[in-house]
Amino acid sequence: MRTPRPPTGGNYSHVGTAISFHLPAWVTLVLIIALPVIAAAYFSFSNMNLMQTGLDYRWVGLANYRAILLDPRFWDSARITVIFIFGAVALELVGGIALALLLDAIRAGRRLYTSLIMVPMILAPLVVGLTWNFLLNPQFGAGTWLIQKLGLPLPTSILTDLRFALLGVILADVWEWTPFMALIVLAGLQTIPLGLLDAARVDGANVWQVIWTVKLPTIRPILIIGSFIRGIDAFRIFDIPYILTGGGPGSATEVIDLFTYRTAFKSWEMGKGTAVGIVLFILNVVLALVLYRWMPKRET
Amino acid sequence: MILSERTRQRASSVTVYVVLGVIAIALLLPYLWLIITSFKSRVDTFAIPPSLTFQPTLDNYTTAFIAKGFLSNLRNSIIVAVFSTLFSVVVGVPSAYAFSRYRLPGQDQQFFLILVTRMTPPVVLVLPLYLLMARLDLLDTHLAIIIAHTTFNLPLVIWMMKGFFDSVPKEIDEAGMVDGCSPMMTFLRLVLPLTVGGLAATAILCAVFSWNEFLFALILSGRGTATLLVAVPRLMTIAGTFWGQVAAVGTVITTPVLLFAFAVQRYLVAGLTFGAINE
Repeated sequence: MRTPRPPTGGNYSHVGTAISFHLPAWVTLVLIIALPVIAAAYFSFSNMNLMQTGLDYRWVGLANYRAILLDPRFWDSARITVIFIFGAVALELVGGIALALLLDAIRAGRRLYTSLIMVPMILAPLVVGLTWNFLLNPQFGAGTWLIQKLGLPLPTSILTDLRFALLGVILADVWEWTPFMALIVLAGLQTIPLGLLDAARVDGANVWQVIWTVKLPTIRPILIIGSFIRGIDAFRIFDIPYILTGGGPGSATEVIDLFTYRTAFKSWEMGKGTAVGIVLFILNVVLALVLYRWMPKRET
Repeated sequence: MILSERTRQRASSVTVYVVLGVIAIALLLPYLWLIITSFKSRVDTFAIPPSLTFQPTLDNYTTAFIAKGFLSNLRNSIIVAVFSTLFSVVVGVPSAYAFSRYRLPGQDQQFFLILVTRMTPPVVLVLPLYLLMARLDLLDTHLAIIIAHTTFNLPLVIWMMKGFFDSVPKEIDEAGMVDGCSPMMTFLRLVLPLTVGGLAATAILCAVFSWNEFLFALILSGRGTATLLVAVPRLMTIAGTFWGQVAAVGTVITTPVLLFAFAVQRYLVAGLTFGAINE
């Protein structure tokens, strides 16, 4: 069938129509995202400090970037963030795979079950932090009580212990996001052609062999994309450590976003804060590029 | 004894259900605990071992929402979620339609930019937005938070709605054009009504993301505009934390979201993965 064209103007009006549909969104995105990022880049070369210089700041070149690269606290928070991301995502991936394999094995009640386990991922991350704050309270937390009953080798006050506070933050995140990973893996498992599974069984493979040699290798791309998306999300964690540990004890759980927040809004060093922001933004563009390459191309 | 194939299968499926049941309880218990605590008196809250038999009370709710004014924070949360959703939908849906129906040079790059904006960490945007709002004298206004929440909801609308428009056959548009409808009429009268389900799902996701957002709201709000999440730390003072009231506010923050989210659970994963994964 021939594609009908609008009555007048041919291709030109076609482009014009498209632009008029796009215009409101583009203008908005430029105003609320592009301009702020450009402004942040500009401020990152200034010595703006709302406590000292106020808005009477001056150009300092790369001084802020040099300062953060020499700041041990910045590197500390970068290290903590990396440990957090890998720890949380690894646990979520393993837990998610296990849960998804179980869900894939049942027929009746799967829908109801997925609704139930979705609950943690729908909660506001701040409330997740509150919930765990409550559970791990050294005096009356039900979690603390359980840990002691089970005789686990953990301190009574996990959240104020230098070695274990980050584990507390990771646990809260794992609780919230393992179901998400499970749903992603389940979506992958259900795309495996039944013929492939039958063939493996006919060849005499047992349940574990089918999982290891057929299921997991087949859904590898989904496992990678799922972990990557979760990793990007974990990269910007703020709410949970903010309310659970406040970045402490000391700076044991001060992730990079918390570090930036404190630099900008507690010490009011806007120049330095925006410099960290720009570094994070550039990293983010690179990650988005990688994700875009991996993503299944959509029909247009 | 040699079990028949059938019995063995049944036994293993029972095992799977039992394991799944235990996992579900373990996953839900922390949240249920929060809800239960919201109905406990101060004495019961601190009981060790945790008490399950207690006299339920609504004291925490009345103290927090009426005496301590959390009702106005609830109102702020609703205003911000509703208007940031409305604005994102009105501005984003036509753009999503154009992405689905028209080809412009550099379209892939534009779509990639939308992904970048969706992925930009809030902490990058919140500093310049704070300075901008201070300059415009918009700190401690609903508008400031609504604008901030549009930074993540608008890209989400474009990204998700493009998918829904793609699933409407192009023949519909062509029929409209042949009948002499303008492109705008074709979009509003013919195509948009076919995506009402998707539109509702997208709007609900936007509202949930706005409702659950903390950092932007923390920085841009003030006394008069603090959302529920921003107001919670008020209950955690140096002198001590009012755990029962924290639990009550936490329950009110989460229950409406759960009801809405169940309604759109089919789209939740797509919304959280930029459509990379569809259930």
